[in-house]
Amino acid sequence: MELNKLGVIEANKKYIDGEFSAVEMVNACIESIKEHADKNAVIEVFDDAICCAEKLDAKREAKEKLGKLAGTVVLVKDNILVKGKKATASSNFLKNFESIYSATVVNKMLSEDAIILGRTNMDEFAMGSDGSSSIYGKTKNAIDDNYSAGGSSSGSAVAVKLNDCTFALGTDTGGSIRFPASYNGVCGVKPTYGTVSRNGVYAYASSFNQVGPITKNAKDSAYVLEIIAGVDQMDMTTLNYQAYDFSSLIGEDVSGKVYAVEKNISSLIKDKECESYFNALVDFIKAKGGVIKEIEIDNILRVGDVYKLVAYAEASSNLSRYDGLKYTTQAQDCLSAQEIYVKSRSQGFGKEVKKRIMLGNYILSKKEVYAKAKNLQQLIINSYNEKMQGVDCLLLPTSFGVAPKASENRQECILGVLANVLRAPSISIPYAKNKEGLPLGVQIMAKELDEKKIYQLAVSIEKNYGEVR
Amino acid sequence: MKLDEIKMSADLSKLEFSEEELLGFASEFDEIDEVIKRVEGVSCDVEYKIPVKEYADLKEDVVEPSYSREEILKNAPRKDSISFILPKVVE
Repeated sequence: MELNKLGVIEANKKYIDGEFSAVEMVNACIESIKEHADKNAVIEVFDDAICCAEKLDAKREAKEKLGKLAGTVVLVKDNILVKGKKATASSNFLKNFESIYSATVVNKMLSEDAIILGRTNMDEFAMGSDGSSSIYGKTKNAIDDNYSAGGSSSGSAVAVKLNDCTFALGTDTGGSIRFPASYNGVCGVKPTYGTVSRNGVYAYASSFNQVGPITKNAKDSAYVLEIIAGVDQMDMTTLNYQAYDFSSLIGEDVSGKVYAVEKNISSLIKDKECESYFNALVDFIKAKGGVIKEIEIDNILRVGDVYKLVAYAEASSNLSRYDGLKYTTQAQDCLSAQEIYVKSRSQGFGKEVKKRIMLGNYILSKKEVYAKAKNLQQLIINSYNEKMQGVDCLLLPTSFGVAPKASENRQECILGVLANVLRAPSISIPYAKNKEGLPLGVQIMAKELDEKKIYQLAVSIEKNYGEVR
Repeated sequence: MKLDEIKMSADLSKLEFSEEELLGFASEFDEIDEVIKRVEGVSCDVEYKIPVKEYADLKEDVVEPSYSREEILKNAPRKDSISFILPKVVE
């Protein structure tokens, strides 16, 4: 049995049944990480992971109750805090930062006996979509080095694909879980805004950001999301639900369900390969008894504009806390506090981060632009909710094709940011491979808090549309 | 986009650049101006709604144990046993 290839539910069951030890599982993942070191996905393996595994094995030996993640190994994106460990947001500015507390999501996983093995590479402060703006260097695509790994949760997606862990956590502000999941052929979900606590996660654009699991299949995704979701008094934007049900519709077929495609987005698909694979999936769902309906969301082509104005403005505000005094690196030989701020920030931040902070401050200096963008966001949400009445899920490609070449800059912002602007849940699952063996992802969205509908369809596609992973 | 507007944003951002670097941002600022125009051009008669009732209850306003001074200072680049160290502002 290759332990590192096990999914979450399977690993938990086999571990509880005594089929392997946690130490064996951790060692299998560490061996995989070493084997794939050239991919640059995992930037640190925590030195106490084996010790944590030994403690878990002792707990099992003592016949104590084991948690829902016992036997699993998780890697976390480098913007999620783990007490006593480095968390740098892959930025030069935080290269020496060690957290004094753990993020709520980390504590939730630990309370279910997960072993946190290490941290994964990402675009600096989660600002990017190809994994290139990292102090640790670019992450390589899991399948072919010549193609982009996607971003910003590049390391988490690549590590899951390469079986360096049982599952990983990423964050998604404008497609940052779903793009890398699609490019590397794994499952990634951006939950409804407010489902998962952001306490202990570096802030970029607070209106849009959510933590989500990256897993080897959709059923595992629902399982992990149920564990990490829930209200948290340390994050007042979490929705007021103690527990969620994301799994209860899994196993139901698609017959009689209504699925939508969006007219404007369909017209943006120029890649013939992407179009034909996507249409074949839609036809398959229709053949299985699903009802396909075309909808048109008002102002949908403006979601990229809303995203830029809101995200950059919030980034400029959120990143103003990094001043070179409290916990970042500090420029040398400064004669005043002002000089420390300016020189430390100028030396600490990378180019893309500086650009977004500058543009954010420019946006905030214009009267009411931020408020107008938020109002337009509400207008688009209202239209989406209206057009989705009686519709179970919206289907769209995760990206306008397979992963782009590593040097290519493809404009597919709208597919990434749509779910964030709508505050809606969206999952990307691999559903096809092209001739070169590169995966294509389909994105399944629903109305806010309708995660169980996206999981129902995602698992159905995985089960019935052929083995593509 | 005028150089002085880009410079103003750099100053607000507490970032410093050479003039050449500032000019390198001109196209990005022009693009944001276009984005602003497009958003302002949409007729919008609704206001953004924060679904407050659905969000977490606020914490009780009570004093609780917090992090120690040592923990708070742990990542400070310059510190003594009780404070962050800044350059002197008063002689």
